[in-house]
Amino acid sequence: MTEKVLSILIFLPLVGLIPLLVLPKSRSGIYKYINLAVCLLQTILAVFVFCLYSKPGLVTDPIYGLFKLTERLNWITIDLGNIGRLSINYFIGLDGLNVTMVLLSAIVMLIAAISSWSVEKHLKGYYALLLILNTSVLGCFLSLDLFLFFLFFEFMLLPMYFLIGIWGGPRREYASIKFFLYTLAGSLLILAVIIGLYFSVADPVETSVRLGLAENIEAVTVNDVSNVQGMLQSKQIPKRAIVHSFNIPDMTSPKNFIPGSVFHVFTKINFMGLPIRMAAFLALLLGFLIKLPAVPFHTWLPDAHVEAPTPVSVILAGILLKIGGYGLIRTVLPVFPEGMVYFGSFISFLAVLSIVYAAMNALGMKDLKKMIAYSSVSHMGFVLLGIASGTPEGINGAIFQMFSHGILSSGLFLAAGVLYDRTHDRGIENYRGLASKMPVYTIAVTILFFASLGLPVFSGFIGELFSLLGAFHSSTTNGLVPYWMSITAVLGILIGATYFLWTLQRMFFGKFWISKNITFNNKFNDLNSREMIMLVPLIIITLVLGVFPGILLEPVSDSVEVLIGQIFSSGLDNLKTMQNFRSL
Amino acid sequence: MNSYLITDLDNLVYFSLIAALLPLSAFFILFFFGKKLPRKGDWLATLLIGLSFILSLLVFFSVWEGRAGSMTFQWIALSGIPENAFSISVSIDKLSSFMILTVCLISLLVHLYSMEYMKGKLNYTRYFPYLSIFTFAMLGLVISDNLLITFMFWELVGFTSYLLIGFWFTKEEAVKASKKAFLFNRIGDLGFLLALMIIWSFAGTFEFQYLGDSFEDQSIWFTLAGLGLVLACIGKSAQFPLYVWLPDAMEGPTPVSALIHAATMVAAGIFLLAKVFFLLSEDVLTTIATIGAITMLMSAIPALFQNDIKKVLAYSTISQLGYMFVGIGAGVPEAALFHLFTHAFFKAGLFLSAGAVIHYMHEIKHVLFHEGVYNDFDAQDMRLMGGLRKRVPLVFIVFIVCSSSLVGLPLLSGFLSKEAVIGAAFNWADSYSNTNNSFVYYLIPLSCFVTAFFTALYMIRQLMMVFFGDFRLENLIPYLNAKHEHHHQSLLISLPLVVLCVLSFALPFSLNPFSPQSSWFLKEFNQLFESNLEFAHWVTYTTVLLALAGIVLGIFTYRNKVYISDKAEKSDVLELFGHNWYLEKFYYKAMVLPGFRLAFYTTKIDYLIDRLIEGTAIAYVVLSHIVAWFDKNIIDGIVRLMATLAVFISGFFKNLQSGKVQQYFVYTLATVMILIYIFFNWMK
Amino acid sequence: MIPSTHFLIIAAFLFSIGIIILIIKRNAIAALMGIELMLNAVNINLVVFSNLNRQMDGQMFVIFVIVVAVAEAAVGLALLLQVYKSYKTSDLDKISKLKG
Repeated sequence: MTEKVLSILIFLPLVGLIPLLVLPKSRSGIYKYINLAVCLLQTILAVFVFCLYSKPGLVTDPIYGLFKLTERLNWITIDLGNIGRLSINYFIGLDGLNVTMVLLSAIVMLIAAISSWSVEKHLKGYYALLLILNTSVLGCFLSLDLFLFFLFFEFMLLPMYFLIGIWGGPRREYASIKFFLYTLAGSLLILAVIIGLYFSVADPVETSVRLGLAENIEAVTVNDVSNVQGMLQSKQIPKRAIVHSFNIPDMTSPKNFIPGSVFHVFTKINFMGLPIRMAAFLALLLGFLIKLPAVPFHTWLPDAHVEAPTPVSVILAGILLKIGGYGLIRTVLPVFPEGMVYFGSFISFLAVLSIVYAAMNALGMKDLKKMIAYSSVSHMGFVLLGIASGTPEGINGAIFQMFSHGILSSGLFLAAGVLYDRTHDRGIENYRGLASKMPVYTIAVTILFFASLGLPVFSGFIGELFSLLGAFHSSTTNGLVPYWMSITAVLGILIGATYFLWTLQRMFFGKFWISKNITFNNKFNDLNSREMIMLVPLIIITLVLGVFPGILLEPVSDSVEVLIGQIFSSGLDNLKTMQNFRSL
Repeated sequence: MNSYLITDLDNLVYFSLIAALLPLSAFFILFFFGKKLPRKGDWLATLLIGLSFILSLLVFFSVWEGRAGSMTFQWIALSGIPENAFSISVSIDKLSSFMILTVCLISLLVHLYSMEYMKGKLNYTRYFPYLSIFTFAMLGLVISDNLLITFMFWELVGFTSYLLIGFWFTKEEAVKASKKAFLFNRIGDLGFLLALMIIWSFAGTFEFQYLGDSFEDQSIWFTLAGLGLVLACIGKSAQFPLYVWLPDAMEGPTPVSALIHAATMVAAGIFLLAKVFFLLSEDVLTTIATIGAITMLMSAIPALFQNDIKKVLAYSTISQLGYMFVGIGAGVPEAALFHLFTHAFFKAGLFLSAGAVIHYMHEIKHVLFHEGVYNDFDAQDMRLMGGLRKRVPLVFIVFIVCSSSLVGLPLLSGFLSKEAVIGAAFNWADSYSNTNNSFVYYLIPLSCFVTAFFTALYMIRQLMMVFFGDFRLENLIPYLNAKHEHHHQSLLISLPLVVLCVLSFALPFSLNPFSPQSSWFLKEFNQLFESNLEFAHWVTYTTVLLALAGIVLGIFTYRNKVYISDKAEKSDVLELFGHNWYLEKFYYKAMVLPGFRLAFYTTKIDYLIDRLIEGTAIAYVVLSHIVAWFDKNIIDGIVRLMATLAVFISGFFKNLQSGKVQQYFVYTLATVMILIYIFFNWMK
Repeated sequence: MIPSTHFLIIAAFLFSIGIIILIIKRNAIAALMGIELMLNAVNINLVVFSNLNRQMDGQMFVIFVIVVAVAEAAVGLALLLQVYKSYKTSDLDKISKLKG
């Protein structure tokens, strides 16, 4: 049971899909409970997995050292004759980079499940899409096979498109198509690189089985692997015996790249004047930056958020954005580390641009949800900054910030939804003095706002602080982030405080007043118990993480250290090789 | 997770930790259950802070006996980062123990005072939890021995003061003032953050005890980190150019102003500077002194033109904080700390007495309201007061004592500390001008003198306006003449006033009330900082004489001044000082407006990006329409042409299939004959 | 002895009459009779040529042809009867279901 827990996590929603589809429409009241039960179970499992991971004692994978609870099954194997052999695995596993993400997505999905209570249209379709989305999100976070990752990554698009396009606001078609096209453009770039990687990378484990060094995959030892790698690099393995692979852990080691292939370090292929590896790095980076999103690829986000129904906004901000950041640290950095070293200041420029530019935009917004959406972009800029710094505190901070932002933005969108449910209006300037009508709501919003603007004792502070510390540390040591950028990034904190406080002042304080355009059926009721159940745990989580950030940071840090080792050892090596090889 | 790194503690550390955590527990209890408790639980908060105060006394006395304690926990353990990089440490030494005592004492007095002052006010349930959480944050800030943790509490102090300033959240001005306070503090915090980033990168630790060793080379970064911290203190301690938030912060309830804006929060900056004193290079110290001097002058003059009873005190606070900055900058932090200490008491006393006056005015307002002659007037406007010494005699006495202390008259505590600061400033200017051959440095002690004069002037103006002359409100509303009921002063209000009044005398601080050097406070702290405490005597005489001159001039100027007239006073001087040197306008024009303009432009850029993308999309659609047309007409056309041909040909052959047997026969026959003909021809 | 040419001329004549009947006559029975005539013309030719060759195989073949013709006539008439039943006519021009 414990060994298969990750698969259970991924496919639990699909199991829940069966009763959902079987039940007739007349029983539509049960749908939400099915979804809730699935999400609840998943959250319990995710917490269990997290605890399991963070306590020492879990066996690591014998070959891919860091990973725990790995599952590896042959999925598609085709002999391609002279080209070699194609092998796609169902390969999932847990390490520091994704363990927090799994926990986050389970929690956010649960909150979204509760938040979906208010959906009334086409319930069956809605919940079915939600469950499919759930599976693909967890699959995406857990898969260690690039093909599998991409499959889940793409599969997320479909339910999202329909969830925005059918259950969204008045401009939903526009928003959903924009979302779809943007993300699809990103995925195409990713796909192109994945295909190239496939032709370039050999799986030493399966190759050694094929060469007869071991009887089956389970019997392969680390020794075999290094033997095969040595043979591969000295071109002793015939081409038809090489097993091509999509394994991400295999891609991170330069020894697994087949000599003479597209992405091997010695390759002489150029693309648009750049060495192909650099071009591939940029393509992959761009694909994930769109998802993150970083300025200037961000304009899909405000529209998608504004039009999406509350639970979908929650999922979008809480989980889907994180896949961009996760993709960066899972694939881009370890596979093309020299790109990270070479383009470090470019990435951090985008990060700082995101932080400041999106914050300025948030300041200018008149729509509450749009303001929150832009604040999301600004906060995700800190994630990018932390990643770009390439320092332990920076990347740890980035992962922490992803988690924290997932929790906080979920809370913020829920809060915006609370108001929207009552009045169907989100204009900031249409309200004043809500505090006197909805005191508890005001307290919740105040806490969420202050947590988001980086007040200590809340998780947002830790994430931003670590990113900034990392950025400046990087300025003084590895130079990936120039000084002026790390100093400019600090401004984001000030602007963040400005727009949040200004909104708070305009909407919640002062004498009660609402615009005449607002028509509301029921009165300004304060939070009901369902809304409390959603908001209070989020607030507690952000508070606990703000006071004890070690809960989240400590399990992560081992993997981050390895990642940084990869970036700087093989990254610098590769860069040097490439520079010697041609004048870069 | 929390494993001990260093164990060097005795009861002290526990006592101070408990003292800090008691208000936190009060916050949680009152925040969640306050509504259900009798009197909304204000007694509970007061009780707990009283316990904290007792603990702080214990801590204070045991430290003064020469004991100290510290404790370090590991907070976050990360691989790839040094082990003690992120830790929580508590250190109880002279500096922190005296701050704990000050905070607990003032907080306790304010709690007591508020129980009466805030009674029956809107949102009373929220008030005491906010006070408690503020006290907690302040205590945490004071006992922490780790710069990062200090920063966290520093921010928390800012947040809680935001809550308290904006306590009357339905009042637009209060909310705006709270936002302004938080944002100006945030500007300072950016400096703190930068300092943290620099310290992290170069020292790799935030522990105060290791910080000194880590900065061995005095690089430019060392100075920059110091400047960052100074910026933070400028924000928190309301110094030029960030002091504009403090006068506005008077929108908060008056006891809050006494606690936050006189004694504790604004003092945090001075405390921090004293704590990181060893990190500050000479250039930074000069900067501090200059800023202090500018601030004290700039804020003392507008204080002369304020009509709001609390705003005068606010400007006065800024000006006194300027003295403290000068004390730090002059390299004598003990003088600054001493002034902080005495100032905390007499300024809190002044604020609380002002509060008592306002309370009295409010009562009149209530009476008028109940009698049906409701006349809305500003209860804080000094132009409506006057002659109150007969109505609230106790408040009058306290006010006189505390303001004399503020002015720096001998026998009072303010005299001791102010002389220490000014003397230190003179010594500093002496030594600097000797080494650098420049008299510019004398500007700083000079501004101290000038400010001392202005201090006397504005305080006497306030005294005259509030307590002497006629009660001008009565002249305005004749109805009041008939009502001459005696004002009953509640014990909860008078007790804190009396305590603070007693603490404004010199005796508790020094056995010889004319000599700052003989005060126990300076003696103790001198062991810590080891700076020169010998001051020239003429400095003292000059200061006192200037203060007296100010008082005399003030009495003559303001004795028969008419405050309420049909002609509104208007002059350029009033405009300038009444508007606080146009600093606010400057900020509005230089920061706020450009900020919003920038925000506007960025939204426009986003709009452009969107249109660009839509343009691409439209171009794409147009292209696809062209392709579709090509597909439909050219490629499909060819296919259709072939199809038409096929139909035409097949039509011909189809017609042969008439279905008539005889025709078939004829065709067959003809074919056979043709074949036979061909066959025969071929045979030939 | 009558020269064989005469027989051949009569046979050709008969064959031509058969063809013309087959082409011209609308009645299906008449068309069948035309076919019979053509068959008999061929029979005459076979007999004449076998006589010229002094061999008996031609005449033997004629007997086969007559038998086959009888069978064919029977089948043809039966078909015609069926056609008549369904179409209510024996006019060949009207029986044109096979028209393309």
